[in-house]
Amino acid sequence: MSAVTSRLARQARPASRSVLARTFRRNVPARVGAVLIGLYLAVALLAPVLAPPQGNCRRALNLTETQTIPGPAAYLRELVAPPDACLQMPRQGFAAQPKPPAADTPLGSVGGYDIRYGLVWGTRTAFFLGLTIVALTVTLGGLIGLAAGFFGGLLDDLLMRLTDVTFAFPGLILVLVLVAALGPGLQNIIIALSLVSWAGLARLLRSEVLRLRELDYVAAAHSLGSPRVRIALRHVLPNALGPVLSIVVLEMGSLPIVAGALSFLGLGTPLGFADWGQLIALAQKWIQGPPGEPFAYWYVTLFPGLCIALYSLGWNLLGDALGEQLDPRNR
Amino acid sequence: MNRSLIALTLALGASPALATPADTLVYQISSAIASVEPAQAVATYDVTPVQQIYEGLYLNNFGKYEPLLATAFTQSKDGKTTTFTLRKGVRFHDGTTMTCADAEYSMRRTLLVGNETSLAAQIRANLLSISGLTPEVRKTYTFARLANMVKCNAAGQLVLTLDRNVPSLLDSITQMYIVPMKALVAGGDWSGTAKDFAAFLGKDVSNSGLAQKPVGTGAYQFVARDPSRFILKGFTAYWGGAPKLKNVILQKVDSDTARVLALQKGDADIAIVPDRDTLAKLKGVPGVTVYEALPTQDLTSVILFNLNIKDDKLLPAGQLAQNNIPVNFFSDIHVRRAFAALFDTKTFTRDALQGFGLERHTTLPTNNWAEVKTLRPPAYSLKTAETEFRLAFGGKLWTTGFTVPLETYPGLGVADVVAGIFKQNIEALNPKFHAVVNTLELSAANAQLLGGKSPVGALTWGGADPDTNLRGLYSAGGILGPATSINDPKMEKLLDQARDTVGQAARKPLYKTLLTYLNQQTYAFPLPQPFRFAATSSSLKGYESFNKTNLFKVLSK
Repeated sequence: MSAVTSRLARQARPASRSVLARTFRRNVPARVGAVLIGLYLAVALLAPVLAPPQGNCRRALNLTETQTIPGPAAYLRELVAPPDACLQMPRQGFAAQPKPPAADTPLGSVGGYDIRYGLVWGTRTAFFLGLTIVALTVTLGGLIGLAAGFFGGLLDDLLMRLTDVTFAFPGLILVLVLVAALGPGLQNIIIALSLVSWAGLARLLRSEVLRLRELDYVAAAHSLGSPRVRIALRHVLPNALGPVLSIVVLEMGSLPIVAGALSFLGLGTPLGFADWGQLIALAQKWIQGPPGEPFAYWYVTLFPGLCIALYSLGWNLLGDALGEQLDPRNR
Repeated sequence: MNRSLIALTLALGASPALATPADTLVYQISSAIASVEPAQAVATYDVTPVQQIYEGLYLNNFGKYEPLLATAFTQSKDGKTTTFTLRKGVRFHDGTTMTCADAEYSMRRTLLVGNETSLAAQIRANLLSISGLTPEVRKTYTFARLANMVKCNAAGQLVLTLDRNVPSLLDSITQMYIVPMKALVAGGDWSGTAKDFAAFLGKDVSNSGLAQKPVGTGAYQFVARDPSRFILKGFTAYWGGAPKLKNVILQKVDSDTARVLALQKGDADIAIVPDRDTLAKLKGVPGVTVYEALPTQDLTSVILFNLNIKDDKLLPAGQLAQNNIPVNFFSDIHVRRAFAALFDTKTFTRDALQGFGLERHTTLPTNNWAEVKTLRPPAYSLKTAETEFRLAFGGKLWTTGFTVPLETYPGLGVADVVAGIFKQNIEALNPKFHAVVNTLELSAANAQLLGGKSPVGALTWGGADPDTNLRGLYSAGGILGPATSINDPKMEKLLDQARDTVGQAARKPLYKTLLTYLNQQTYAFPLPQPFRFAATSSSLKGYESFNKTNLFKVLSK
């Protein structure tokens, strides 16, 4: 009996194996992407160790004078709900000119801000920004796409014209206008980016729903007397989400770049906030060194640039692999 | 194809630095020239061309008053009447000869026209104590009064008779520019009579005929202008001899980088450099001369507190909350003293001025004769700041906390450092104390400050006489009155006494009393006075003199 069970289980495994597992088994770039993202995740989780709290952050976490790394409770607090002071890059002096890596600032400093602290805690900001925007975008775009595709008619027309209007503006320009209107700050960047990014997902989901709603299993659910909303949410939506997954993963990689562009233009997070874009903005004036030493301030652009590039690369490799895996022609 | 590509590559690689012509000055500035009407111009880039085209009776050469269109003056014992002997043989750019009638008309016109933000309004405030042309002022300020005040005597001298002794008279005289009466009257300007006196009283003349077609007696005459260029040429019949540089082009270039590159390439002789960090990058560049520590005259950099902020977003007077401040936050002397003690002057000098700052005693310019060198501005001490904060608002501020909004301006590193120092030290003192730093365009920040909406203002103000400085900074009737909202009768009385007393020796002790009182009240505190900096092409000579006079005629190549 046990032998039969195990054989059945073995047979069943390939079918039930998730898309993710299949992706990693077949695809080396996907594994590289996953490792990169895993590393960033580790940096975000180990932030209080890699860039220990300083100044007002220590006070907010009630650290004793001898304590460098917070205890378990303070660690959890700093990670989950960090006090505002902990998301500010500590500042040693106010001169704009960068200072090369030293013992207390291993990656150098610019404008007096510790680059290491900004990069480590900026990882948390990048994940927070990405996940929040993706959650908002998927919810908003998903509901609009589902409603438009499933119910059709006038509602479809209305919602798709709204999507067209959003598409009529170049993405970055619309984000700039929204952030300029709402005012800079992490919360407003999230709102602006969510308000712009939902349209693509809505269209994608609508097309998928249009295909799915004509399938037999949906007709069967109808004939069994299921309410339309239940069919849409229970039977159509879960099956339509597959293609969205790869788009969402790719989006995770592109968001820090857009947020960085906003910071570069002075519309990003408040001055001193631990955020990669902020560091790029601070590096703006120091890309080129003084005469004869063009790379004198290499650390100012290299570390934040590399950090954003690798993060983006990780998500892109993952997203591409997922897209390939979910494409029915590749099965 | 290949050959042309090689030729192009060679051409690009070998592009030499092309210098501007030897008789031409190319001055790249960062902002547009608005109006060159001499009664209106107050903004830096309006004043620069005005000073080349027009001249006053005297020149302020870094605190020394030198004869220009006048050769000498005498003053009555009570200081009320001043008689100027005019220079002979001075010609206007239109070829006519300057007479006393022109000087009389020009000075009367300056005391007549110009809206509230004009240079003329500042001169009226200084000479006649008229701070605004209210209906009451308009009733008593008549042509007859003006005509009696400024007139030519039989000897062809210009006589100025004021109601009181004005210590900073010459300062205003240097800014009252002489223009040709006939040309102006023919062009539809004020007729010089009572007929249209009322129509021109306080009139905004930014777009006057004179502003369109400027004519003065200066070393340079107007040639042409467009939105990004203002062209002048040397006046060959100039009374002081034709200037060495025959042509001047003032060119507006928005981008800091483009201006700096133009200087490096030899396309500009002077370029406005935004900050000391950029200046440091220009050090050692061939063909560029860097001036790191040019002196300033009559300027004072200060931090001002607004005692009654006119901003609806703030709490009503007396209310406290951790996320805001009340409108009367700085009316409590303990808050002002605490903020002054929070400011780390040494760090400011090191990080904002790269060491190029002068130590201060009071809020007077360091070179001012009334400066009291025994006085000390508030010292940086977090302990003092804590003690003062604990006393503020009856002890409630320390337990409730506050969030104060601070301002910075794009491209102005000094403001970033001021805000950074305040923020760091405020937040280090008490977890309930916060500072929010907002970036504002300079024009918006100016409007906010002069509209009384800024809680704290960091600015540079100037004037040769201590009265011009201190009245401007502190008095309710001064130009910064709305920005400070100070209501202090004792201080106003001391200000008036010191102004109305005749002679430096008699005024000096009065200013000592006033400055001691001001230091105690801490309505404002001085910032280390920054040295000026500049970058020019190495072929340009005389920039140090230009820094003192602002006249292109002292420059040569």
